[in-house]
Amino acid sequence: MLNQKIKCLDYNVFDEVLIYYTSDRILTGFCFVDGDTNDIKIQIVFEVDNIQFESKYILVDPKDFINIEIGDILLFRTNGTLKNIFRINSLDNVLFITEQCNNNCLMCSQPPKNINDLDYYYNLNSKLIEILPYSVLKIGITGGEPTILNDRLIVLINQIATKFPEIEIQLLSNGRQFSDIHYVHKLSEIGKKNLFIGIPLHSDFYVDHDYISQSNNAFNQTLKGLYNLARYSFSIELRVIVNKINYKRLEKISDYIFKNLPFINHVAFMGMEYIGLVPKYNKIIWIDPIEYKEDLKKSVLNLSSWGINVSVFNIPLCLLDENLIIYSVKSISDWKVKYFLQCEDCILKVDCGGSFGTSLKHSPNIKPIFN
Amino acid sequence: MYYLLPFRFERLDNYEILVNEVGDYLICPIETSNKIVSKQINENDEIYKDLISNFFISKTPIPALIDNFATRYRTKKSFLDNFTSLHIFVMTVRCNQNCIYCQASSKETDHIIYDISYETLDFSIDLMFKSPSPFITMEFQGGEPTLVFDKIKYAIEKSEILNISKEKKITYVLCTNSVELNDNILNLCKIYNVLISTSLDGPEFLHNKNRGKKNSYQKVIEGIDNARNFLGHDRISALMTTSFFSLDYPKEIIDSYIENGFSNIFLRALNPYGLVYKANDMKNYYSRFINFYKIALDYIIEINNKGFYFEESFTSIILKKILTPFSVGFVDLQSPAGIINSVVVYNYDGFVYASDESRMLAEHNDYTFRLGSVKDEYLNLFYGEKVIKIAKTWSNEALTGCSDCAFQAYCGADPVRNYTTQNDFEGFRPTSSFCLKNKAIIKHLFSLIINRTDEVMPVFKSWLNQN
Repeated sequence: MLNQKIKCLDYNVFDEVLIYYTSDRILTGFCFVDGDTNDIKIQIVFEVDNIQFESKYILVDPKDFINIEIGDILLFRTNGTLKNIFRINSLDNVLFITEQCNNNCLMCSQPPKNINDLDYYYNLNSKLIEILPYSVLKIGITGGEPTILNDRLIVLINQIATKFPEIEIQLLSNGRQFSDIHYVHKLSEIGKKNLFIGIPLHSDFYVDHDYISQSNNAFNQTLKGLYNLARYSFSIELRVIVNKINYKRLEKISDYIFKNLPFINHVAFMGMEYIGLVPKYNKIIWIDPIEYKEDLKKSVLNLSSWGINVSVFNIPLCLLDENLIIYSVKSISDWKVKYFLQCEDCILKVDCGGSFGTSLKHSPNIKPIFN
Repeated sequence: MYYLLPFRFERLDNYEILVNEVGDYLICPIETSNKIVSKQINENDEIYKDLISNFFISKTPIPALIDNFATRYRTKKSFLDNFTSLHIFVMTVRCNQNCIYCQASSKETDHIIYDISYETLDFSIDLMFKSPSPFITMEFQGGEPTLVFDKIKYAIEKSEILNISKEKKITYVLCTNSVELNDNILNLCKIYNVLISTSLDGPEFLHNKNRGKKNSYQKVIEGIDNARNFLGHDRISALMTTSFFSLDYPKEIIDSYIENGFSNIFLRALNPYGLVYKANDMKNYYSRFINFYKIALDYIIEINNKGFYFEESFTSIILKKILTPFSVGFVDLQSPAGIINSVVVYNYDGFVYASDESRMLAEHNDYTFRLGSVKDEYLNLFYGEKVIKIAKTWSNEALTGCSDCAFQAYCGADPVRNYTTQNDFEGFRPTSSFCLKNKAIIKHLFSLIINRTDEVMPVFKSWLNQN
């Protein structure tokens, strides 16, 4: 599997290192499958300043090594694992800022952890930005809640915007930190032109929003944050993750968005992924998209009729009202997407974004469309 | 427990319409207001969520999102941001038509005392440039302004030169009956991007009858065609006035607008100025006008639902106030009023007036709304004693009968009209024709929104998205 060319950017093997997969330097690598566990393991040999280093056996997550390509950046970690953290031909690359979050949303697909990882990821990301190739068009910033990094997040964004003046940066945040106008002001002084900020809105009613995000005052802070961002003309995408608690007010949420947040650039209604906290809170939060078909239709068409850009993410076409098909976006990353056996007969399969392959449960209503 | 935020309500059909301070509405069952005020709304009721999220009630005495709400209020009132933007120049009151409803007291004469002087023009243009607004509309009115073409040309050219240093965005509008649109005029319009606003009352028999002339319609249509060919189709807009005679022909009027290539109409009621009509006649007129408007609007909705885009512009203005969070700059229906805040008139007589209607009063020797001479200082005119006095009654938030009206946010104040029709600046709502007409139209629109949602909303939204 790996018998090729790897350039190592940091020769201290005791540290975690970023390995830039390139054709410059020829090194060897051995790959084998552990007979007991079926794990794929590799060992790489790399050369820096004429000194050869041999890595430990590295456990490989197969999903990171599907279609590895020249230009990808791998992270070789001290625990002996190797992770593909930047894919040269992907538009879904992200800088992961932290596992911490000041919300704890009931349907979070990557539940936050209360660990002090800010320095670790800050250093890693800073190094990663340094070596990112100039061909990068788009980069995401995600977590956890990235703004927990506070001012150093702005430093990172500045680092990106300075190196790549034309890049599109998509920052995913719950928006609460932006209720501090000084923070927004500081952010505006750097990457405003490049920045596109995605913020979830769970309800138009603060109690529901706070309950879904399991945090008091979350709604008010997010709403103030949105107004502060608007004041500085940031580009904002509002994300409404449809769930059992908010679906009945979807149309009212859409009215609320048009009346109170008409300055946002895009609204995305999103289906849930049955992973993370969703299985745990299954009874309170999970809902089959087919059950909110009508509510979703009304709210999407309502916003669209007011000239607001609106899309539907993460819901297979067979669970959507036919009027919404044109709003559906293939939003699930290539390596995550899944189509079922019955999907083979569906005439809309090519246009369909499919389902989450990572989801532990799927709607029983997924069925082929024939006409 | 919860606290009340300011809101107003009105019963309509079997509902209560609740409207908050920024004009957002909720359609609720009868008795809802009473329940809200007597604190009978339960936190588990769905309506409790609606009321909280739409700023009708609050969990705390001051809502947590008061700053956001303030931003929304500022947005709704943002027509005030730049102060006076519409500057009307009454170039002459001479006219070559003889309209039966003429509000401008035009004169069929050659007497040049009815024309604006170059000196008045100079002073007026200087005043116009003193406006803080970066956007200026310079509108030429009459009488028939094309009768003094040289002065229009002079005024535009002078403004262009002064604007080299002032750097304002100027839009020129020429209000003309289009009867004498010759090449000189059209050339000037072409060079300076002048918009032409003309009058068309409907089909030939009706237009001619309103004009008191036999061939007016034919001349106007020729003028419109000529101007469209020369300047482009969208550079000419038309305005109609609903005379007593017009009231019987709503569909014919709309058909004639469509036949003549217009994609909108502004169903404009007579203004009770010029003192042509008796009070009793006018009362009867407005009830008939409301009926006329309803028939016309139904007809227009039907046309749109057949796939042909055609807008009723007065409806659009009201709907924008009701349905959107945005501000509407329409000088006849705003609070604080359009006079002085948004519009001012430089009259041929050398004086500055608060509005078009104000200078019409002056034709009857009533100078109540004359702010002063064009030779006066800007501050003395725009912030002078007269304006201070008018300002006390130019906000419907502070007028009896308006302050508690559910539709306050959609309506406006008009001290000039109050004074003309009811003898004081405050006015008296129960007998006000302004109130009668606007309230009836707003109620009618709500009734359509509630009872014929699927039929009317796509049409209404298509109009609003166009603007």
